[in-house]
Amino acid sequence: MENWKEKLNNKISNELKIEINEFESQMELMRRGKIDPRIFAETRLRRGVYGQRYDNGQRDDGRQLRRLDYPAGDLMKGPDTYWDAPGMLRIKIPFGAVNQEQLIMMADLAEEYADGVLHVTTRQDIQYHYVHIDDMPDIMRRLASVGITTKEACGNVVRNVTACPIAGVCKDESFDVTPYSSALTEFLLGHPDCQDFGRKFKISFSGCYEHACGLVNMHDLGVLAKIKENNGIKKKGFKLFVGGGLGAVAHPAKVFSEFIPEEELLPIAQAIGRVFARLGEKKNRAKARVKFLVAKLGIDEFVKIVMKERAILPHDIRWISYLDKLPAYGEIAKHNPSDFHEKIADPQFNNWLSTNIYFQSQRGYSTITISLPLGDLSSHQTRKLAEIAKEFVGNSIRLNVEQNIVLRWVPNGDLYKIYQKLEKIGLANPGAGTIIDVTSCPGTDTCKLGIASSRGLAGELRTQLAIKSFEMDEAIKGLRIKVSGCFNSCGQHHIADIGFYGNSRTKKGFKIPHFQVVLGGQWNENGGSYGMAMGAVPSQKIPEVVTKITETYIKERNEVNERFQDFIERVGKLYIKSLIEEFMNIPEYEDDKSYYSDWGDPREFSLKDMGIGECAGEIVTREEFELQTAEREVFEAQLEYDNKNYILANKKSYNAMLQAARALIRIEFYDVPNNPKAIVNEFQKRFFETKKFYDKYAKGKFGRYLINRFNDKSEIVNEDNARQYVEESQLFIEAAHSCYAKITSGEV
Amino acid sequence: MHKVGIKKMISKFDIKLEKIIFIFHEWIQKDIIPEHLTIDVTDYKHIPDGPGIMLITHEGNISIDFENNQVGLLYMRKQPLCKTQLENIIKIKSILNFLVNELENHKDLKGKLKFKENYKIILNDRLYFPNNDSSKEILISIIEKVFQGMKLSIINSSLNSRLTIDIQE
Ligand code: SF4
Repeated sequence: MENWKEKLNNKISNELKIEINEFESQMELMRRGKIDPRIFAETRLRRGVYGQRYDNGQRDDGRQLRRLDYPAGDLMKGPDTYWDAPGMLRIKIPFGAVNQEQLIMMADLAEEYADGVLHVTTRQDIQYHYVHIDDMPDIMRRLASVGITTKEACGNVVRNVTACPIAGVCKDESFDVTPYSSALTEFLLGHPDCQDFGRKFKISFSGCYEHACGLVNMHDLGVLAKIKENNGIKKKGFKLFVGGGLGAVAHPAKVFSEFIPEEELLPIAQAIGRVFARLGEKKNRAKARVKFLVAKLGIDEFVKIVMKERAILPHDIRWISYLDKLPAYGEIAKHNPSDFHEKIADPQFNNWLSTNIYFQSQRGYSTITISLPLGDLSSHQTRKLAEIAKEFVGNSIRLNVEQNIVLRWVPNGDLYKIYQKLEKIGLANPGAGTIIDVTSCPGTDTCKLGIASSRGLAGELRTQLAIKSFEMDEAIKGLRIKVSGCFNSCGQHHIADIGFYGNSRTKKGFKIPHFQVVLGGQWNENGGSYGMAMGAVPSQKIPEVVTKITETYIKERNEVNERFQDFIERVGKLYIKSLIEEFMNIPEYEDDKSYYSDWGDPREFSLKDMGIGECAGEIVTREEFELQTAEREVFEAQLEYDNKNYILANKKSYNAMLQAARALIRIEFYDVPNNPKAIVNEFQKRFFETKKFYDKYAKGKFGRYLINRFNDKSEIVNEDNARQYVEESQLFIEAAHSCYAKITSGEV
Repeated sequence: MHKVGIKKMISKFDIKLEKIIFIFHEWIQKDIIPEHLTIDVTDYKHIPDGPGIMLITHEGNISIDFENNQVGLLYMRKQPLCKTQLENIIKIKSILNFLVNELENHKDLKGKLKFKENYKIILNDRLYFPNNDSSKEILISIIEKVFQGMKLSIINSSLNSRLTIDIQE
């Protein structure tokens, strides 16, 4: 019977086919115990395959810590991570743009391999949870058949490039950043200069400074559209920011350059990647983001080093080739524009209209925000949404960083019709971008590092605030709440008006879930400033804290238009603390057990389920990675040999040796050309003649395998010599591993 | 082949959905489902047309499902089970009915939660069972054996949805 690999063979690009086949080989090597679990973990992370809570084989069931005996026994997919444990798959959606076909495919896959739910993240990705690793290659193939890759969705690489969801239709933008974010995504995906980072690297684009859509201020690289006028000539370019980031220690970004012309965007991004790879911290992952490098060097020195690197970069045609296509770029509306005249006597619709609609810069069109509770939608909703999109907007669909979906180019005359259709499938929730639209990271639901239930709290706040929303003061309505399950701030609590992050306290030996209250962060101006921590409050009391703070703000603000941030700054931390202190008391366990469990989780609260996070990825050196790639190639050569494909076996085993030799050479000569002649020459000069590659007993024997193969020009390949080639290649790679070990231990 | 789901419809649901979260956690604590490794409970009650509350096990997902506003208990098999599709469906039905029995007889739900003899079978595998006539034919011949004397109807669906059959008394 046909499998997905065969069935989709003609629908997947060669590049993705190779990628996925390689991942499948790596899985097989892991099953056979032939890869270091650390390297496999980083390998799968770079394919978007992430760990999930309880994958370390234990779970606190509320009464006892239970072992989860997964059927595959001790087979692992990373350090302390069981093979059979359900995991997460992150799907990269560059700048959040999806089409109908992709939506339908993602709905199919959620049903067949996950739990039937698509989760939109704060970085415009989609995540599936509870997926078995064995299903990953098929999922990847099916995604690839509709033009989606999971490559570099996690791990220490360039993550999904995000951008304003209303780019191109926004009234305030300098220009549409979409084609630039698309070009940078393509250029950096798998780029060799971006494979040796100590941590992840996040990029975002914004069309203007005032609004928050792209959040450039909190990214490793923030790209802000800017037009410079010189002698009456307008030039498109960007203001660049570097070293921003939330995490446990939030850093606002520094200005890298007030203006770089558009043609410099890709080369400067590449140069930043090279500098980060070369000088960024590799050992201490807590200090490995680019923000720490910028802080260590100082922004001026960082810029100097990057520009020096830029100057020596070998020219790449891709830097500017996309610019020629820009004039032709643009989304085409499915329907003609129309005006919204009628007065519709439907209060629900009018409520939705007041918060979920953005009138586009193009007259007669609107952008609709579909507010998703906790960023979730079911496969059924997704499929029906694809139908609605087909009818009204075609492929003009985007995800935004507030975990919502955006439909662009809706003719204004169709607004009521589309509302009614969305309403039928539960997707016409009002309050997008208001206090109800609470953002949350996965927290203790699925994240291994989660301390408290961010989703549980966010869901509760949403429910309670939605009830009050009709009589809410507009100033409260306009606030934003964001919740993280721990200090790592994936829920972006630092840039919310009211933010929370999970922690815990202990009373008489019992643990109590808490949230730290963080107030006064700024969502506008691209995440312009970060909030202040005010004190930790038991999880159960957080909804009351929200009421207290918002009511006090309305009562005590200086004048009607004093902003929330200004109010918090004026009244100060001590005063706010005095307001929330009354909620900090914890009753005895025997008196009120409700404090001792978390929202939506009746188990007695504990921290025993926490595991080792994978957010930071495994720090695996570039050389280890490349040697592992060589290992995979020789494994594939072996499979080809077993299938009697001797020519392919020969080719792959030779490539494997070249790959391993190149990995070693790049320690000394990073830009060694990737061709056999250059590799063998450099190998001979740097490793063979210097005897660095010598084995104690075999001496230069293994090194000679490569040199002889390079010099052997005979074209005859048969069963016997193919086997010999594969075996020699295997021995060469073993020798490369021990040579690398000797280099890192300082022995040679 | 094993990826089949059966949903049994609920006729009376006089409880708060949160109660199910408690019960599913209790099932994990007491390890009540034979041949299943129970892992966790997920709360999707905020999705109106979704899986409600779900108990994740290695072998299959169990949920109080709300697709199309029709509430029922869904057992969706994820791991291989039997050699033939007929045996599979018989076995999945028996697992489901075991769970139904546990719920109906739970001390906190007695009289508040009732099921009816209406089912939905979902073939959750678009490779081996695409939603086409030949899969329908195969499936119907099997279902007729498992649900003898009941009325079968194919649920008309669009946009690549799974082959689903409605079974009524
Ligand atoms: S903030 Fe913490 S709990 Fe939330 S996803 Fe990030 S690491 Fe996990």
